Amino acid sequence: MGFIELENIKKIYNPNTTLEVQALKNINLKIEKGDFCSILGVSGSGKSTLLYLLGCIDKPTSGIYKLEGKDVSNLSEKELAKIRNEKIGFVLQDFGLIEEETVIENIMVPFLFSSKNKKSIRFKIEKILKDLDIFDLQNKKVNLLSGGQRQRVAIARALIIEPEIILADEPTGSLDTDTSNNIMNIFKNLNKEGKTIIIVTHNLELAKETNKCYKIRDGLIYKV
Amino acid sequence: MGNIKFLFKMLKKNKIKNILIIIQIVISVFFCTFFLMPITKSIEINTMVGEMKLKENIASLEEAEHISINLTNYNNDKYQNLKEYVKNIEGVKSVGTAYSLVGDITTPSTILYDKELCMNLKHPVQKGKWFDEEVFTQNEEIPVVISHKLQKKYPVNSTFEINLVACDTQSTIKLKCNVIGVLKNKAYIYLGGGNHSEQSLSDLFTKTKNQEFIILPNVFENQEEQPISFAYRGMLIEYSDFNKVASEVQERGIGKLYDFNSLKQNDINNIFTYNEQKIYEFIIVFIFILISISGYNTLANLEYKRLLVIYYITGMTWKKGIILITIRNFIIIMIPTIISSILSNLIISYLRTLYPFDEKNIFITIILYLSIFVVTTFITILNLRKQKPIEILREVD
Repeated sequence: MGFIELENIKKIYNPNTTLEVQALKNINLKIEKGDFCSILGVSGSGKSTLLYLLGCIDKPTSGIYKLEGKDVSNLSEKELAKIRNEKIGFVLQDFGLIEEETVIENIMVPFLFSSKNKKSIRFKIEKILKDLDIFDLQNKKVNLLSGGQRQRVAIARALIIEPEIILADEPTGSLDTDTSNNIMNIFKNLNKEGKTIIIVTHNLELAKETNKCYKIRDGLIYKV
Repeated sequence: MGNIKFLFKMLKKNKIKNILIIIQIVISVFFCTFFLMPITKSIEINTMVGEMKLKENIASLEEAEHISINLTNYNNDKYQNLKEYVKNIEGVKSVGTAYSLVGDITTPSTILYDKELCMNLKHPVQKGKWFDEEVFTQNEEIPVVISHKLQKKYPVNSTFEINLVACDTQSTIKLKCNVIGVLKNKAYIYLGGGNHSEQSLSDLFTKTKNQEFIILPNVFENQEEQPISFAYRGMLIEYSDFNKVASEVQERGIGKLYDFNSLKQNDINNIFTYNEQKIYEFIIVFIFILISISGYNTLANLEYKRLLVIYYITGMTWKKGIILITIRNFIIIMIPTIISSILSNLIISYLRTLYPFDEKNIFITIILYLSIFVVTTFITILNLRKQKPIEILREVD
């Protein structure tokens, strides 16, 4: 049994209309705990759709999505929200941060919906900020930070609840080469600590740095 | 915790826009109240007159009050002469007078009805009874009918004293009263007033700000010199042939006679002709307000999409986000509407005693502004439901 398992997953947008699009066609995928995967594909290939399904942001039209052996494809909104909060950390291309708030306020957002013990939170935040080299920026507003710093804040927010899976959607898409390498090193280190990381990208060089690489084309997935 | 925080963030995020929306609402609610007050008052008076079951053959003389407020005439000679004159017109059965008395600071508004009026006007009584013939034979305690609001202070069968100021002698007259009846809540009290052309029912009835009235029979009626300066005197005429009396009054140049039906018609005309321009102005302004606030507020709501998505990917449900945006809309639109509607009614009724505080105006205003809340929330929800969270995040970025 895989940590993440997709069986015959299909995703159709606007079904039974003239605008019908089959974004994912019969996807079968197995990801083990601690894997560092990349999903490669051009724009419109279905890679983001796959990431939304993996991140419980969207539901498949048909098929089974098992997370830690439990079928999550038909869970309620509330249960999916709990999974997003506790098991998955998101890192987005455009960071997805609240611009007018400070680094620390942004990092704390997942705790607003968490029932996890908040006792050791201060210590945990300090450690994450130090590990990501943004400790001195904690009281700065996000809109005053550089792209690389913002992406570190986004990673810090994804890690704060200690999720087992990190999903990254084009995490280096808007960064220069040096900053991209730094961010990739952070992901590598997180993977070494045992996190399961799935990166969606169209950058082949980036995909080469992961342990497993899948290519998605016309809604179908292939192992590279 | 997360939900409340999201709500606060929404209110904090568009601070200037939110304040502008609230200012627009407050100003427009004041406008709305100013417009609604005369209309609801006219409608209410018409309803009240229906409930009072007044005799059909009652008319009011336009000039009566005008003559009575002549300050050179404390002893009321001109008014009494007019009354006598009208009594002698063919077709007139009886003539009655309502007096608004000046009381001292402790005395509620006091209205004196003469015998004719006591017998002809029967205001709706909730407890006890209205005046009958016997009240005019009592000497020691004057039987009075009080307004609904005074019933706790002066229950039926209780006695109390009132002080009336005699303006001509500057002395105070003490009267001992015995409560025989309590009027229905919010009853309009007939004063027979009105000193301008196109008299309407609104001119004839009044309802004070605090709704505290005492009606007593005119115990001074048979005295040769009445000791009190009556500030306002309305005249009520019971007729057997209205056309005859009306033409006689007009021919002799002593004013204009209105029966209740023509007064009611004037009231309706007043609403739709006198206020016609106001109605159109109001409709245009309200549509403008509806579009302006709804558009502006919807734009403000859409700025929360990014915030909503960030909270969504970190553990909030989409449905809860929409509920919170609805609550935010309620806070921004409905709470200022309710508060400013109450305040505007209080302020306008305080400044213009003609328009009493009336919850109906508040209720109508709230219903009208509910449409802004509904439209805004509907457009926002429609917009949010069309898009997927990640699409929204990318679109906003």
